[in-house]
Amino acid sequence: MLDRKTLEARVSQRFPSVVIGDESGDLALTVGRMHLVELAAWLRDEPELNFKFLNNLCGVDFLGREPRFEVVVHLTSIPNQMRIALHVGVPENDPTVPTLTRLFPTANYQERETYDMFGIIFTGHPGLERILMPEDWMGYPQRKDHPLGYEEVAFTHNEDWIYANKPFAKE
Amino acid sequence: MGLEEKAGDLGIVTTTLEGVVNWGRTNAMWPMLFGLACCAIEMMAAQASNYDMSRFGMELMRASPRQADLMIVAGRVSRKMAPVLRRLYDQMPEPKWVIAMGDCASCGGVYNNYAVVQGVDEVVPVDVYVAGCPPRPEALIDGILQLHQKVRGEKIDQRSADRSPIRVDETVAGHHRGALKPLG
Amino acid sequence: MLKGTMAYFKGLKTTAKYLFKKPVTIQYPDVKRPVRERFRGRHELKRFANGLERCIGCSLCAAACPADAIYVVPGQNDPAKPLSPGERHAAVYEINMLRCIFCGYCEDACPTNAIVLEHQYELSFYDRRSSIYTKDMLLVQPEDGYGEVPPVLEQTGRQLNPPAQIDL
Repeated sequence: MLDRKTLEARVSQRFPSVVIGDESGDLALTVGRMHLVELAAWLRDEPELNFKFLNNLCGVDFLGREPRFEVVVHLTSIPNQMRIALHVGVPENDPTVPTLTRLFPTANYQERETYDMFGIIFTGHPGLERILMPEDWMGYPQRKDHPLGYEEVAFTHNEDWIYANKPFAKE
Repeated sequence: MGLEEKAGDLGIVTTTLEGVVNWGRTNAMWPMLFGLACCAIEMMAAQASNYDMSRFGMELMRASPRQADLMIVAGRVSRKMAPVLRRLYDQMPEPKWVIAMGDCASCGGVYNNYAVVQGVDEVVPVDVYVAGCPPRPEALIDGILQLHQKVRGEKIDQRSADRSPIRVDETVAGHHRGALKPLG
Repeated sequence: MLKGTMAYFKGLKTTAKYLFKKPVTIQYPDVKRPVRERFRGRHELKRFANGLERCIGCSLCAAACPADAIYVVPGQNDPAKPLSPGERHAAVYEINMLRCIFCGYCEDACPTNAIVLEHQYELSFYDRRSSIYTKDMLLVQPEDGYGEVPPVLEQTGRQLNPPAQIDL
């Protein structure tokens, strides 16, 4: 069984540029975009590590921070009963991350969702399209600067105005 | 459809005919399966033996829009579902009615955000809105009975001529708003 | 062969058993099944025993509402002829029933137990405009009695919280 100290030592030995942190008891690695695929492949294929299961892949928007976006990947090693999180910073002006689809096929839809919600482009992805929102949707709804699509609640003082402007369906 | 065009202006004949036709329409109004979220559970409960909508001739929940008269939109309609909803509505034969069941289908309810259509009346014309989150089966049956009442008052040759989703029906609006006397 | 035939009659036995039982169906528009004591249906604005409105226009219910379905405009009480105890009353009190999700947070937030979710559930409308309930429709008439401790609290035997809840 692998323990956390050994894992930390092995990661820092193999990838000196990776920043090691903690995420609610699990190891969190902050990694540059260029090393992401290499690190994930190493974690997956190294016999003692065995991080073969991708739990989830999602995006985070830290509006006002540099880099603005972050892609978070959670991997699990079932034989070692360990989890690990990979944090990849993504700047706003060049929101691209190399895809993990070739290592973990399950990343396909999750990368599509992250693209749909945050507009992060996964280079090398086999079919990067919107998955949840309609195809003609403008913008990326989970970005913090995206408007909420809020409709004012109708009461007697504003219902005339709301219903006059609402696009009701015709027969 | 065909009947309205052929009937023309026949005075008392159409009046009697109207009664017969509307009686037939109200007593065999087959709903279409359109359960989208939690309201569908209450819709199923309304169909089950405790409440039993077949007492009103609605035992057949048709999965095909071609055989349905009434669309009960039960649940929140996401933006991606809206074109599907409209397409199924277009495939239903005339005469057709729509009940927006629950808060989310009626006006978006608590989901006041980008993902959910703020009321299905943006997509299809709605005849009866049933409030509740979700409504009890009785509340849905009450909505259906209100729809029956509305259909009984319809003129067959004027159907689809004046169907707009926002229509303040004086008698019914009076029933709901201002029916209680204001305090002096 | 015989076994298969007997299985057929075994199934029919269940059918025959239910043939002579009273059906479970509730004939809804004529017979109404009583709702549970804690059921949350249409709101009512209650009164004190002396006829004053309980609502003091504090807008806490509007703040607690997750769907923003309540709209309150407070107004100053006329000292000669007050509508509610204290300085203010609700000049406008509206609930959009199509937005309301009947969660009961307004009931919990109300410091005077003015708003209570009662047992009426038949809320169907032909158009959106009639789904907005104004104060005239929500407020109970003086002759209909006055609001007591909400049934939920009464049933659980819990003390009123906050204790400032007033009963005149």
